[in-house]
Amino acid sequence: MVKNEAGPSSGGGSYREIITAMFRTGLVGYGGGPAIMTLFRHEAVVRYRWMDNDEFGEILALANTLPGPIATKMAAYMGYRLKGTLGALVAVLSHILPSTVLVVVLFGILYRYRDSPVAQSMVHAVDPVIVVLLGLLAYEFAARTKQGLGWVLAMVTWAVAFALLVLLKAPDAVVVLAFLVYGLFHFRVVRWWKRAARGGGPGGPGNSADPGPGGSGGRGNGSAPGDGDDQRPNHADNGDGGRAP
Amino acid sequence: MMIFSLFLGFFIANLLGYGGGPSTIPLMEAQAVTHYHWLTASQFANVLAVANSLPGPVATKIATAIAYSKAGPIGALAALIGTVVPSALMLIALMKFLQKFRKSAAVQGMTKFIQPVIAVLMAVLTFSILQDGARGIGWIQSLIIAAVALVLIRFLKIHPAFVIAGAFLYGGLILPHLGG
Repeated sequence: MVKNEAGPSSGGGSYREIITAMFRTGLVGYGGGPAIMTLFRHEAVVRYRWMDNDEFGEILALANTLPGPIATKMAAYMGYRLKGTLGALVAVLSHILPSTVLVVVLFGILYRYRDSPVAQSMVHAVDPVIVVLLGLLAYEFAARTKQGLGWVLAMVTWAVAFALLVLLKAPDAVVVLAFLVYGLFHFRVVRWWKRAARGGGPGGPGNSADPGPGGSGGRGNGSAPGDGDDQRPNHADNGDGGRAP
Repeated sequence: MMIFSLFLGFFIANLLGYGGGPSTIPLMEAQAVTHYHWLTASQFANVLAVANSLPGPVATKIATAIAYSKAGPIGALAALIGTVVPSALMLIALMKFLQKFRKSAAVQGMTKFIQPVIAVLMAVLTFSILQDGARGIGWIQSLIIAAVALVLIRFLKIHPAFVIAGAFLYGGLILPHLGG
């Protein structure tokens, strides 16, 4: 019904282009969304020239600030930009339908023979391959932790996450949320700590007490990761700076 | 009720998963296996195997496979909506807003601090699937297959889909005859 909405710019890009591009990337791309992004870029920038490279990079960066699968977010946004709401729907469906249908068919076949010993043996023989693929993913996320936070903070956050998830068996969602909330305040905590470290030593207890509420708010919510992060400086700090006023 | 749970489970897993589909794998496992008991850990490994042997985004494949086997096409649709729609809508609606906040310390901090949790969750899931495989075909066979797969995928850059297909064949044709 609704062909073109007011919002998106309609600079090129027919439904046929959208469907072809998204169908192709959905069928050719392996390794999940992040790996498919280079194919998206090729379709959008090189083949159909919906946008230039910078704009694509910008959209991708913005899409990465939100949670959820990246491929469907990008498909939806590009479809929307070209053809509005219907364009978004068409783009997402073209992208996910081929693999969705295939997975139902393949899983159906596997499910039918699940009790046969041969199928059992087949399924378990694949487990180690999945272990390798997931292990490589885990390694990748670990490497990204190190890259983003540095060695010390990476080790601390891994240890805290491990303690919470494995030793204390805290629910995943709670731990993820705690880390996200702490991350929200992390740079404020760092700034506060640096300022406190600079001014707190020789001169000013007042200096470090000032941003206290912001810092402690951050630590209160994401207490686990926070504690590890600024344990050493805090102890020194709270000793002379925090309590003085 | 089931339909709504499927929607909610995948909605939550994807809402928490920063870093694209692969980062939501352990979160979906937590919802599907630990929380809702839709399937066992071992069945989840099978879903991953099937999903990994096919092209396309990984989160939607996992959602479809699990939800379809639980509640048919309607279930699959509910799970897909939970997986895809919220984040897609957010991106479209918040585009302007995000532009302003992309470089903000808060967003940077969140994207950085989610990584260690996902790394640990992924490692835990990896280990549990390794144990599951070992229960089925023994530690020796599991470790041999894992070692071969690692060499093929990581060092020889063979496509994972071929390695998965190879393991399927090995498990179906050769393994049953080794035991006796």
